Amino acid sequence: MEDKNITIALAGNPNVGKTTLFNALTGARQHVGNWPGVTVEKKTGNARCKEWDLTIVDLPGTYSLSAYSMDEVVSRDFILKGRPDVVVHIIDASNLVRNLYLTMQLLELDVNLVIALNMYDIVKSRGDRIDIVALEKILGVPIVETIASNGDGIDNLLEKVILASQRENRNIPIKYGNEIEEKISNIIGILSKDDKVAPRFPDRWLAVKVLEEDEEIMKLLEETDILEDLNEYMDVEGENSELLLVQSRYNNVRDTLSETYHFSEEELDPSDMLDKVLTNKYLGIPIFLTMMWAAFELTFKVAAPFTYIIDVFFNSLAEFVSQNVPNEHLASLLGDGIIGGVGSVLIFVPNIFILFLIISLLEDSGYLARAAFVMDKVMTRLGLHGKSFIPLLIGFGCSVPAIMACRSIEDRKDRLITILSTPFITCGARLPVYILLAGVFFAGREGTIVFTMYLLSILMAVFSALLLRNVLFRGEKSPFIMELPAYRRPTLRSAVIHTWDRGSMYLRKAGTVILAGVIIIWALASFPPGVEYGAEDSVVGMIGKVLEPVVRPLGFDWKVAVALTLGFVAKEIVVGSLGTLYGTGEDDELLTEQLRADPNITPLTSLGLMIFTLIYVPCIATVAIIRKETNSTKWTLFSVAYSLTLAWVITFAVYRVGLLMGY
Amino acid sequence: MNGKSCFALAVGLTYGVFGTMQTIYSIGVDSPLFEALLLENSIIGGIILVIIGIVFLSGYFKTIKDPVEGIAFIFTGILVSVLYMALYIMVLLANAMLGLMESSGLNVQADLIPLVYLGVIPLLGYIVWRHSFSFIKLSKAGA
Repeated sequence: MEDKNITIALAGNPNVGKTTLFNALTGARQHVGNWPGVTVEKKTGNARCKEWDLTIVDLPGTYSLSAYSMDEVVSRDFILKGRPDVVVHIIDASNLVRNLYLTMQLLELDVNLVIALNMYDIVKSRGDRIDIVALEKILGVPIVETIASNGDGIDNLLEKVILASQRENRNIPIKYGNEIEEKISNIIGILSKDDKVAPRFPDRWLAVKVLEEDEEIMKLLEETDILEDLNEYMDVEGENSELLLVQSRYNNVRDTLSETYHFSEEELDPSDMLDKVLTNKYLGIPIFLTMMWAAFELTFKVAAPFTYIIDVFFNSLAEFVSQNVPNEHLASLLGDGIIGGVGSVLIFVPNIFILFLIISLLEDSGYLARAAFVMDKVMTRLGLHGKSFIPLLIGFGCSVPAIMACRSIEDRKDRLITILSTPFITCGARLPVYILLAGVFFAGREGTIVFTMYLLSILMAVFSALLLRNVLFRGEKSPFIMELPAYRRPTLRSAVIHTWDRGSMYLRKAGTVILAGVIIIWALASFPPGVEYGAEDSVVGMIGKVLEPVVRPLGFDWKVAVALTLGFVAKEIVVGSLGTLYGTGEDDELLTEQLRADPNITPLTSLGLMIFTLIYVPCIATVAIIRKETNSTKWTLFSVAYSLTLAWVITFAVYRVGLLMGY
Repeated sequence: MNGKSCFALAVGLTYGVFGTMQTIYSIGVDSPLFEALLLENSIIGGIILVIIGIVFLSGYFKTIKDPVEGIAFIFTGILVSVLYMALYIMVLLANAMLGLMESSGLNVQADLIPLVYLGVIPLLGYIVWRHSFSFIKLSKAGA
């Protein structure tokens, strides 16, 4: 039998389970979060069902097809221009009013639509009931109940999708009422005279977009001869049309639900009960802050036995190397360079994995979305858009996806402010620097010091936003609307997958960039031949001495200057470099002793080093993504210069004030 | 006053008093009582105890005017306190593991802090009332 291909687009509101469904269908492991805005680019995967080859495209979440933000444009363009065979509209069954609004718009697109009524278990648990047969009849679209998180309904969905792909058509477009319908007919009449743009879109949909004065569509129509006629018509008849269209769609949604959705007695479910407290205006923020503090306490304390095991392993490895490698240079490369440098970074793997596990659990439970909600008022007062909280939270993992997540912010000024402020949020790569220095100089208070660094990073992002808003990007902020997802019990599988995805990046770096970095440092520290390893007359020492005057006012010596310079490539290299430069090999305790014994590094300078590491450019990959997302070399260079200047000035201030206070 | 609001008042006062004592202890005031109660030298730990106490006490006061709102606070207070208990039991186990590996011996008492042992009371409350917390029927007007 001949194989056949079907292209399927997964569309829907943010946080309805599109990516979970995508993963279930394709076996992929794309990141899923229990909050809106996780998917910002379309992602493609493949699956096979019977004799059918399925290409599945996961589109960014969108509340409407009005294309106000970049992710909405991506979704709409793919449906219109990519012409998928079937669009699967994934609907959060527990929140039908908002979700069906998008359905009303998809029905106009002349596409083969299948609805996946996802999270149906929540509807059942509330005791509500949806008359699916009646809903199918009203919308003219096949509907399948799914629970994507455990794979329920997936086979049935695929069967309906295959049937839909063979269907001639189509759906029942909604009726807007006589007044609007007449305008739609008139505009279709004008559009029929155009042979450039109009034939590329469904007539009715295009007419509706003209009535909405959709920016993208009006821009396209500027190339046509009918623009004048359209403008004349809209000047007379177009007033309030967009508002009437929105009202009509919601009326349609309400009418549909009144016939198909049956509520049980009204109830306050556990999600509502938790929200009464966790989003309370007085208790919400203190609870959030104490949760974050507890997360960092756990990161340290629960990781301790695992860190101990890794330390013992690298000690044994180094001992093996020193006893079995006779060549002095090779033994130094393996011991001082590779095992010392990479080992001093890998020792933090348990901390990184535990922190990511906690963040995954908080995210999957839906709590982080509440954190965004409770912080919104503070964020708005301080110059950031409410939606900025999501990129900032993602930034605790890695700045690169965080900056990509800024796409969900519609307003360009708000987006640029967030892109330029997000790198100040402490990513996982900076954690080893804090752990090392807090452990050495602030023993017993490590958790509090690291928590303080995280708080400082939030303050830096907020301060930066305030500065940018008031100096470079003056103007009103656009409004913030965020849907709070229901709380869900996180699954261990999902949490482990997220943790591995984020943490494995750290392991990969240890085997590539960090390994290369420490070998380079080892080579620079070992040459010219005959020089004492890592001494001031080695190549690395000479480079460090050139850089030292720049950082000397901050209390740093040449070794720190070298570590910070190489940290521009990846922050983990700062720790790897110190391990290599101090020649402590794999021995974590020896590095601790050396750092304590070094008169150039005091608790005050170590605090300065943590602050400098926190503020200056996270890594080269972040610079590249800033260039890509801003599409501007000017803003990219500004970002680098801005963070370096802030890092220097703030570290200088902390160091000098500390000295004055006698530290 | 029903069982749940009595419970909220008692647990709220207990957490509040322990939290206040721990905060005082953490800023340097010492007393044999504080040591006997196994208070931790952690100001933030003290603040967490106080916050949990406030959630329960809010639950108690809210039940007087609006029982549904009050139950929501009691339910959340129970979950938050049990969550912290679980987290600090993990810390206790990790420290015990480390002690065994380093052969420095077990010192479970050091980790048996109020956030751990006080958590037993809300846990019992959850066990007793877990079914009545799953959904709360509301009148139409209150919904």
